[in-house]
Amino acid sequence: MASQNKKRISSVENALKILKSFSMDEPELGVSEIAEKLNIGKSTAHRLLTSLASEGFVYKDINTNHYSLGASILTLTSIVSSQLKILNEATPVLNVLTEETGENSHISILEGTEIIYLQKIECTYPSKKEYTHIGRRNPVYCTSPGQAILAFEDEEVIEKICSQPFKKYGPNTITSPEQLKEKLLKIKKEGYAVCNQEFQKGIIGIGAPIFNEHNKVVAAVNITGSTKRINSINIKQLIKKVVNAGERISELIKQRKTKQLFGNDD
Amino acid sequence: MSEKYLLSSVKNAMKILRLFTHKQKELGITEISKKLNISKSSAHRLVSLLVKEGFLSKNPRTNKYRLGLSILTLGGVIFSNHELYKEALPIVKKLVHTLNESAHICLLEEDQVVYLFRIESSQPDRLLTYIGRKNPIHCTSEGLCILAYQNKRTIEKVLSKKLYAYTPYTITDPDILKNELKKIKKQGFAISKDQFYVGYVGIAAPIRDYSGKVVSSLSMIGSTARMTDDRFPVFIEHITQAAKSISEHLGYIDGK
Repeated sequence: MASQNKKRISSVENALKILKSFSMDEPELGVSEIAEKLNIGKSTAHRLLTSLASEGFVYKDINTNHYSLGASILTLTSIVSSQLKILNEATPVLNVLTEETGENSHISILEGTEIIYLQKIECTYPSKKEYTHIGRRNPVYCTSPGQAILAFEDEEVIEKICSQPFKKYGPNTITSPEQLKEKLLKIKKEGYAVCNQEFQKGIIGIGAPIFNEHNKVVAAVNITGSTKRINSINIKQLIKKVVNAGERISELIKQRKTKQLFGNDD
Repeated sequence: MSEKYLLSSVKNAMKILRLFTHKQKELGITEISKKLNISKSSAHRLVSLLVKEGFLSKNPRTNKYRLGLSILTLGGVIFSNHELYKEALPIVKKLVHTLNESAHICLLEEDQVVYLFRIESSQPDRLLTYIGRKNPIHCTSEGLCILAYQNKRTIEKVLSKKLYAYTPYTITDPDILKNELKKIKKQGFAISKDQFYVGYVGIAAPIRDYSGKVVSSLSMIGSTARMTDDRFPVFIEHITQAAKSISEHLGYIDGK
């Protein structure tokens, strides 16, 4: 019985892992690719995909025989978005921020050792492919929203992040915990984080923290754009706009009577 | 142990996710087990796995479960890769701004239409559509409009199923619907009034991809009190124009 249970659990886990194997870079996958990624047999992958398809979680293109994520995900996504109460306050502010700066703006929260984007407002002329989209997870230590949140977090959280190995993503990624801690102190003092090509070559991010009514950091607002557009001439102006947006959203959250922020956590 | 048994647990895990709706955003283990007719211990085991992978999260205040952020990640993958979404958004926004009715982009998925996105107007309306919702094809302008351009086999397949009469005005006769589809294809737009919900009208136009294939539709749906028959020509003109413009952004060249 114990082994049966284990088998049943692993098939559910594998099914969930299949869903997670679709990404921005690989939105469509064939059976063999999935089998390879999960290190399972092709026939097992096929059976799992068929079960997922029967509930609308994946969709098979009959012309290419490739799978992509299905409509059930869209339905559930709209439910999750409606649960994220911070978006009520943040989205209008982001719209203004993108309009005024001409750059993409986002709201992110910390989840474990990563940040996750809850909202993105795209600018009219995106400079290049940026690795930010709603629901995407990115590292904390080399992104402006990550650093803007982390700087105001408890010692414990900072230590947890710093105990992980830092992978070098961009030309300027900070790879030593000491250096990061130093930068975090500066961010805490100044109230904003600038990441110049720390995560992606050619991209600068400017992030500012968002606080709740207990003055605890709960999220970050940031803009990202090409190093060609964001430069020493305009960066001061842009920083000011991002910081203002962070303050404005914090203010709106404080005004909200309900104490529940994300629905999921208090 | 049978394969069927293994896969039923996968299906049940997916069914658990689908129990959550806009109306019911939180569920407890007992509710889940009752709704799916599975034991509480099975429900508990499946929920734990879903929590572990971030598909559900527990609300510590109520001890109930909600959909988790992994769902958002997958949704983001869909949106960021849908070329249609990026190309259409500014055009649809402008349309809504001009006519002040909600607009939708739909895709066909098997025998239903699914809403890829929706831009709302300032009008207070009954929520007949939301992102990811599936609606029937045979009684919605957005569904009929895509179906009209599909091959015979697809049309037959959709119309061979039992066509439910949602209102007294729903057309359920396949032959009448086939004629309707021909008409839609000829005129380049579809209108469906009172056929899905009495008091609502939908007007839709086809969106073509670079190959000329109709992949989706652009529609506006609103109350018949506002979208009156005499205003149809204005709606038709704007909607077909916007749909054409989206098609062009997707690489479609008229007359190719």
